[in-house]
Amino acid sequence: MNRAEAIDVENDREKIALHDVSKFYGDILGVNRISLEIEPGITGLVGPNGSGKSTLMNLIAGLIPSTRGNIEVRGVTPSQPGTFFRQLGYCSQYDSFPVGVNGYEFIRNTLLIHGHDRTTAEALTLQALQQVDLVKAAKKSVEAYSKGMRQRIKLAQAICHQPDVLILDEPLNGLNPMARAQIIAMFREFADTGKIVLISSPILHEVDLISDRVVLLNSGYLVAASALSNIQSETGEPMKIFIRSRDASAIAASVFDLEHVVEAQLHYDGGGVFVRSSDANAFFLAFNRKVISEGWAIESMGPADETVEAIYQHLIVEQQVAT
Amino acid sequence: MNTGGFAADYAKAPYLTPGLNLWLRQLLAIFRIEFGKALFSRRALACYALAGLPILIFAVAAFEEGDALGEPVFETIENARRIFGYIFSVLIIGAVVFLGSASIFTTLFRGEILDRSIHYYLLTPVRREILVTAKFLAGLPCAFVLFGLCTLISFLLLYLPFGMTQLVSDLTNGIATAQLGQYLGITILASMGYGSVFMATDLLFRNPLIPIVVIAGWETMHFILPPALKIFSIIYYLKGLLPIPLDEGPLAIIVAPPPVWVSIFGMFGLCLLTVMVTIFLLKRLEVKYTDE
Repeated sequence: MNRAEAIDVENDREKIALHDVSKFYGDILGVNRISLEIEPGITGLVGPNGSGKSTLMNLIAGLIPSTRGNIEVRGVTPSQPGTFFRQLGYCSQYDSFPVGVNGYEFIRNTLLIHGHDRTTAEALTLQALQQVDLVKAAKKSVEAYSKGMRQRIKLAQAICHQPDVLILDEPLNGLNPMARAQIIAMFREFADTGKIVLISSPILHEVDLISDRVVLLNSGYLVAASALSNIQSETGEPMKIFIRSRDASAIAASVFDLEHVVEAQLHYDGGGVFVRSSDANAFFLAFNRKVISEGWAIESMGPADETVEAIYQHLIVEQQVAT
Repeated sequence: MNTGGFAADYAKAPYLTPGLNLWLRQLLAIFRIEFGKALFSRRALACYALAGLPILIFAVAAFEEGDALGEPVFETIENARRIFGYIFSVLIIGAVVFLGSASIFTTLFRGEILDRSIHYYLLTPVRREILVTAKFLAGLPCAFVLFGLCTLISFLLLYLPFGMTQLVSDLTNGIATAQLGQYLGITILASMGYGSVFMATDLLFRNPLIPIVVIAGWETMHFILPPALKIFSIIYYLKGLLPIPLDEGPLAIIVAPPPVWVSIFGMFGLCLLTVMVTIFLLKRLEVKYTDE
């Protein structure tokens, strides 16, 4: 192996790699020809119902085999369960648990099955329960848990064996705003230590807040996968920019002189203006010159729609309406 | 909530390297969990009820002072042993062990698939061979305890109308000990045979009732099957081990029972084969609870 190949192998050990992956359930398409690399950090998985999000997560988690293509999680395939499942934690969207266990037993049993001795399993159980703030309720039956507690115990089960990769299918469902913020902070800490977090959520705003990158799926096909700003510029959709200024009226009246501006709209408070431009970079350049020449006072300026929701709207909803 | 030092502050807990030590530890962990579930969960109540049925029947018969004509229910101890042999074949093996094994072993995998909790096992770094073996081994003692106790208590209740002297006499001269040993042995072999088959069919059929009904029909009709087909029924191997031969009626096609060693090793062979089939099926299992 030469040095370049060695570096490639080392890079593969840091990410999830899908090569031309398809999954069919009989004649029904799950996902088709997905080639994707998911790097350390938080990646949001977005798509409408039936787009293949859960199929893709189950494929990556090794719960279902692909019809074609191959998947490697940090250089390991699901055919090597001994190594594969040590590095992977999975939280399903379903509120289901083994019968008759309490929270503590649920986590400890998982660790014992992993092969830890009782002392280590108990220490790791306590650690996981502390991380999701469920120590006090640990001895209660899981069946008696509230929705939010069940969500947290599932998270504890996913993280208890200290995995390097977390696959989380709608992990924030049922959590109150406080718990939601705390769990998001936990994901961020996890990602900041160089680990991979893949999160699906039906709430686009939430994915937007959490994710470093997004993967957009529609009808089993990969629509886009990148950082939000990259996807935005690749789509060619006019970008919406918000400029806050006390000279908003003057700006709104004169921005049409600039090239690429297709729309301008005053903010309801009169202290800002939304501008839609087909070439954001060209607009910023020309607008800066105009600001200097006109002497406008600009308080802030930035993209107003660099959100998953806007991209989702453009790439998926508008396409669906068009077809 | 403690999110401080979420991952960084905790040293990675060491894993055992894959090998016999790790596999034994995993097998023992799964065995303990599954044994507890099989014997002490709400699902086990049906097995308790089934196992209690023959005990109830023998208890009622033992405490009855006589039949409609005032004669003792069992008349003589020889007659009582013959009646026990018949009830053992038809009720204990044919119904209690058969249905009880179905209840215990079909829930090992299908129950968890229906509960949507099988993925908790499949997401652990445990070999499928270990998982199947541990679950099967956990089901077995549960069946042995429940159905063995059912056989033992029923057999002892048989002696109640004849007094302690008869029981002690039969135990010391070896008649009762030998017969009881044979009945218990058959109970264990039946649990193994039926249990392993139900565990495998559990992963073949989405509806566990289908194999239960089909196998029940096959086992019930085995006495009229031609010899070439009889060898594919479990009851054929078990009946050869009965201490008192059973009269199967005028329609029965009589064949010589297999040698004892064939019956015993046959059941072990069946277990081995079905466990291997289950491992194969589990490796191909797709966990998809979702509608996507």
